[in-house]
Amino acid sequence: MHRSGVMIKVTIDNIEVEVEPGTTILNAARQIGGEVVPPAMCYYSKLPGTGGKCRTCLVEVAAGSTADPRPMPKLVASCSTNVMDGMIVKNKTSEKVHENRGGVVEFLLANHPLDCPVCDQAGECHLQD
Amino acid sequence: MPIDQANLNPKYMKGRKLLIEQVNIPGIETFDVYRKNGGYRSVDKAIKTMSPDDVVEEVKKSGLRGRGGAGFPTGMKWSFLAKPEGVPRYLVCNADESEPGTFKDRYLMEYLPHLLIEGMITSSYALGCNLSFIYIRGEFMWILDILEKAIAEAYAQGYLGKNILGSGYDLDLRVMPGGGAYICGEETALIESLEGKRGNPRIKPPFPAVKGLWGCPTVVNNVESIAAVVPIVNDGGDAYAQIGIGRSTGTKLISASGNLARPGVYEIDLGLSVEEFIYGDDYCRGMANGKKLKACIPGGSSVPILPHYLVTKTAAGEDRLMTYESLSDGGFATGSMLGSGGFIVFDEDQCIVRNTWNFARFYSHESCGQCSPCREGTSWMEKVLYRLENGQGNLRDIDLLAEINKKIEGNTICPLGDAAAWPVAAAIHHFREEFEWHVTNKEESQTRNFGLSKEPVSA
Amino acid sequence: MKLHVDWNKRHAEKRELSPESLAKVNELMTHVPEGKHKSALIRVLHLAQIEFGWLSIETMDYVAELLKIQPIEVYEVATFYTMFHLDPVGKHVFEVCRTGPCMLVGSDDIISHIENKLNIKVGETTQDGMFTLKTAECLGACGYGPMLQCRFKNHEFLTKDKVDELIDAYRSGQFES
Repeated sequence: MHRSGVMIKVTIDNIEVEVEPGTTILNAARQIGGEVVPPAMCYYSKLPGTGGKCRTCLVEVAAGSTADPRPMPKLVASCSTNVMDGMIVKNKTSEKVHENRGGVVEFLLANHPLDCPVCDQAGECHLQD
Repeated sequence: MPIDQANLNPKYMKGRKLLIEQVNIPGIETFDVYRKNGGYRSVDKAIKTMSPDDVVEEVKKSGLRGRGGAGFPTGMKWSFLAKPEGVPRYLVCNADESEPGTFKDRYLMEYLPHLLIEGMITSSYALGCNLSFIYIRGEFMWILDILEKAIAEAYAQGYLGKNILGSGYDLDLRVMPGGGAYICGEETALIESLEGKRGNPRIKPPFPAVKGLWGCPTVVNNVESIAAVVPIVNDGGDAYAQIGIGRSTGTKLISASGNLARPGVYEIDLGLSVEEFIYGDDYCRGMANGKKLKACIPGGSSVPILPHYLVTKTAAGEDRLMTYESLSDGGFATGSMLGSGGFIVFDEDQCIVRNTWNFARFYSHESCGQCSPCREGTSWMEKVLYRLENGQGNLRDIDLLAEINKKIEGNTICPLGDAAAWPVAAAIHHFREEFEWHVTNKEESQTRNFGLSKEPVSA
Repeated sequence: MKLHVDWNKRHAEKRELSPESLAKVNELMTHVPEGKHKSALIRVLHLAQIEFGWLSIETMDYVAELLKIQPIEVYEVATFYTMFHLDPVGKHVFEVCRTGPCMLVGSDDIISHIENKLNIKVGETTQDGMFTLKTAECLGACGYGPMLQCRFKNHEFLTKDKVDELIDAYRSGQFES
């Protein structure tokens, strides 16, 4: 990772944050914290090369960067997409993200028993409804 | 191990043939006969009289578009190749041909192995590669033997190896087999497989042109694209660009299959009318057994299906032509794609629901399983379609399919998810009545087929 | 894939590739840049399957040793690609293409005809160990269907009569595989 001292600005759900170059959208969102952080299942920061598979962390990139402000045509996996200076990301503010993330979770649950024996939420969780 | 040649259709020779002109010459699979018939001229010309950039320029001028399915301009793809100092670059030929309906590359490699090798040498020279690979699907093991034999001849004649034709240019060419996975036709999955791993597509970027095989810049091209470089270098890019219409230049191999009187591999000038291709005496000679045309998938299983009233005419009533543009005229609503040229034709006795289920099963079987929308979505679609086909579906299932489709499309790592979703979406779009009939006439649907669909009044 | 390995049996069962195949393996390893010999894996697995008929865990471990890679690297590849048989198969494996274009010209009938003729279901092996019937996804012979492949040999434009002849021919040893 760069340690040049130059920070880049990225806006996620209308909140601006400064991060080091080479940071992923997910990690930038984690610096903000709270509901701005996309859920991630297959990404584990300590393992090299993880992420990009489960697709629950999909976000919408409304503007690629200051230099090239075009939106990205598809939703991108936030855990494996690096931020660019001036990038504008929509997570919980994007209808499209909600819809498609819901689809992904539905896919994951479609072949999954919903008995959840060890979770305290069991029976009172909207995934089970 | 040659296949039973008596089984193959005679080769149909009419019109211009840039690639398969010499396919009937006895012994053309040997270096000597191939050379006597003008083979390896493009290597002589490129290495002795042209710089690598000149070759790339000719390919750009030719307007050649990738023949594997996506139709991306080959010259432009080549010019994207990163060329950092001291890092090797690789050219990989994608001979994983496994798109249902496509069998043209097999034909080319089986009968004209030296054409592919010649193309590989010329292309590798243009890209500055010193080691190139042909990745062939594992089921074509006998063709791997044919290619290796031809490569050994090329080495012996000084067209491969060190200091080719005394020019100081070195090239090694190797053939590597796959193990029976459709997904390895996707370029990054192919590269993974070539590295001896599972064929899981990589997350892009980085693209192979920057980081491909073993982390080095790599170009992956289809067999037919590589072979087309030979006539382009021989006769010049401009001459090639004069064939065809608009941005669809040159000739294209079409693999015709399904209920045709004469299925097989045909080389056509892009711009031939679909009507001529299906019914013409020089091509498929119409439907088998005098049946009626019900539907057509013009570019391999991944492209949208067309109902009979949109095959030879576009929605606007113009003649449908065999070009990238004309076949996609009307977008996904009333058009399709040229794709890989896997031309599958259905007669009136075929069941679209059954076929859609069959293809969904194919994609579910071939999904590599790494990303959730594709892994779960394709098998879900397969199950729903199986229900519909076997008279156990309900009307909600049809909308459910459309919904699953929407959630797969665009959300996957590689295009296999899209390729699985499109045909289902198109089948429902054009043949909704037939799907509904399977629900409303459960018992009847198990004993007979729906027949031709009616043309919508507005169309 | 077998999940439990009998470690004592494992070594007793180990077999080696023929000298010709071993020479081929060594040659293949020189075809790629230094240190990238793992690339030869799929080809070597094909060689092993041709000699041993199928890929047991023992065979896969042996291939790992040959290529100086970890056994898991071999397992993960062998389980991914559908051409590799991870369970014992008959002497001749019929793989019938069942995908769209072949289905349009009657592959379903051919499959059920073979099932009846050999008295086995798809995925099973005949009692005498002679034939295994499998289905495969598109084998790249769409215009020449229905078709089946048996050890890299294609049999195309199949009819029920042709299938009968084919079974007899394989039984009487006309084709090697």
